[in-house]
Amino acid sequence: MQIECIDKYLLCIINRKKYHNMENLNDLIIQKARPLPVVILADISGSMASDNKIGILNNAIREMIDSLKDENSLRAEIYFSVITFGGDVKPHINFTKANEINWVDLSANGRTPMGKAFEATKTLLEDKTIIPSRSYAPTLVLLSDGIPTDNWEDPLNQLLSSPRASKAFRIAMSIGAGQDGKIVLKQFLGDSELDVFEAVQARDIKKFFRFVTMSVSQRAKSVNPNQPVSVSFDDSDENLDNFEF
Amino acid sequence: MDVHSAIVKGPQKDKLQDALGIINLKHYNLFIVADGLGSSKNSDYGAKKAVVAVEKAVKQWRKLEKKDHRVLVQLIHFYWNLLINDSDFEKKDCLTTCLFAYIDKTSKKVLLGQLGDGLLLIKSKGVTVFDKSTDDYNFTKSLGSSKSYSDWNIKNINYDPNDFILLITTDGISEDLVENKENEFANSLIHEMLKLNRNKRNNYLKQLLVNWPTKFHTDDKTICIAWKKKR
Repeated sequence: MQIECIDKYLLCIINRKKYHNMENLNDLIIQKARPLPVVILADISGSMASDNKIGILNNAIREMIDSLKDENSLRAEIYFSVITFGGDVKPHINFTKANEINWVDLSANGRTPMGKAFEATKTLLEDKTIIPSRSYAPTLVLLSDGIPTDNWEDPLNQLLSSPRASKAFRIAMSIGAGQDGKIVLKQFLGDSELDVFEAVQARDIKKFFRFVTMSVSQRAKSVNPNQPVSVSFDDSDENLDNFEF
Repeated sequence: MDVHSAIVKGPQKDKLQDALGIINLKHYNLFIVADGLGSSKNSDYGAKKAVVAVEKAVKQWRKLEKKDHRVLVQLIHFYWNLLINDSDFEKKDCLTTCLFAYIDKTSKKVLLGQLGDGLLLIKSKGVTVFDKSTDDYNFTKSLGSSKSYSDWNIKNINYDPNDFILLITTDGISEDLVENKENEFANSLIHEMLKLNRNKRNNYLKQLLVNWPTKFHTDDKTICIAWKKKR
C-alpha cells in the first residue's frame, strides 16, 4: 500500500515536470479570465438630489460592487463601467475589475443628457481594445428618474443596432420617471423579457441592485455565462434588509 | 505526416459538446472539428453529426467534375440537415460550428472551411494562412442557424506536402491564444512534441488542455495538429 502511494507520488512529480516544462507555450496563452462587463448608465441629474435618491443610489451601487468583489466562486472576472449623465456625460468608473474599485460617491447636478450617454456607451462597447472579443456578453443597466433633455432616439437606435449592444443583457429602472420616461426605458430594453423595474421608494432601488447583483453573479458562476439566467425581480425581495449574501 | 489530436470536456460541464474527425485515405486527408453551442441542448449530437456530414459531403463532392466549393458547402448542410431530421432532435437544439481542412494529395491543395468560431491555420511554402473567427461574445455562426454561403470562410491553398503545419482548434483554445501569435503557438507545440515519442504526444496534448492555464476557463477544448518537416 505504502509502495503504491510512493509510486503514485513519483509519477505525479514526473508528470508535473514533463507537462509543466512549457514556459514558451504558456507565454502564448492568455492567463487572464474572460471579462464579464457590467455597464451602468446612471442618471445623476439635479432631480436625483430630491428625497436623497442619489444617496440611496450610491449605497446600492457600492454594496453591489462590494458583494461581487467578495464572491469567490465566480468563473469570470467582473468588470464595471459607470457612465453618468447629469449636466454632462462622464465616465465615473472606466472599465475596471470589481475588486479594484473604490467607490466614490456620485453627486446630482444639471439636466438629463441621456442621448449622449447612449453614444458614450456605444463607443465603449465597440472599442475592442477596452472590451475584448473574448469577453462574455455585457450587462447594461440604465436607471433614470426623468425624461431625456437631449435628442435620444437616434443615439438609442444606433446603440441597440450595434453588433455588441444588441447581444447585451439589458435591465432598466425607473425612479419615478413618469410615463414618458418609462417609454424611453422600455425602448432601451427592446425585446428583453424583463419589464422596466419601478422604484417607488428607497428600498426599491436597493431591491433593483440586488436583482442586478444576483443576475450578474449567477451568470459569472455558470459554465456558460452567455446564457440568460432565471432570476426575477421578486427573487431579490428576500432578506432585503440583510443585503449581503 | 505527423498527426496528433486531443479533445477534452470543459471543467464542470455535464457533457462534451465538441467533436473531432480525422480521416486518412490514399488520396486525401480530412480533419474536422465541430463545437456544439453551449446554449443548444443537443449540440453534442449536432457536433458529432457535423463530422459525419463533412465526411460524407467530401466523399460525394470528390466524384464531381467541377468541384465547386459552394457545392461542397451545400452538401455539408444537406447531409447535416438529413442526419438531424432523421433523429429525435430539432435543428435549433443541435447548433454547432464546423471547421474542416481537406488535403488533396494529388493536386497538392488544401481546402480550409470554417463556419463559426475557432482557428484554422496552415503554414507552408513560407506563408501562413489562418482564419480565426471570433464573433463577439461567443455568438457564433453555426450549422442549423446559418442560411448563407457567405457565413463560411473558404480558402484554397497550394501547399508543399513535405513542408507544412496545419492547426485546427475550437474556440475554447483559440479565444485564449495571444492575438497574432497563433503561428508561434503551433511552432511551440511541435517543438515540445518533438521531444516526446510519437505514442506520448496525444497524451501531451490532452494534458495541455486539461491543465489549460487560462483562469476560470469553462469551454470544451479540441485541438488537431498535423505537420511534415523537411529533413
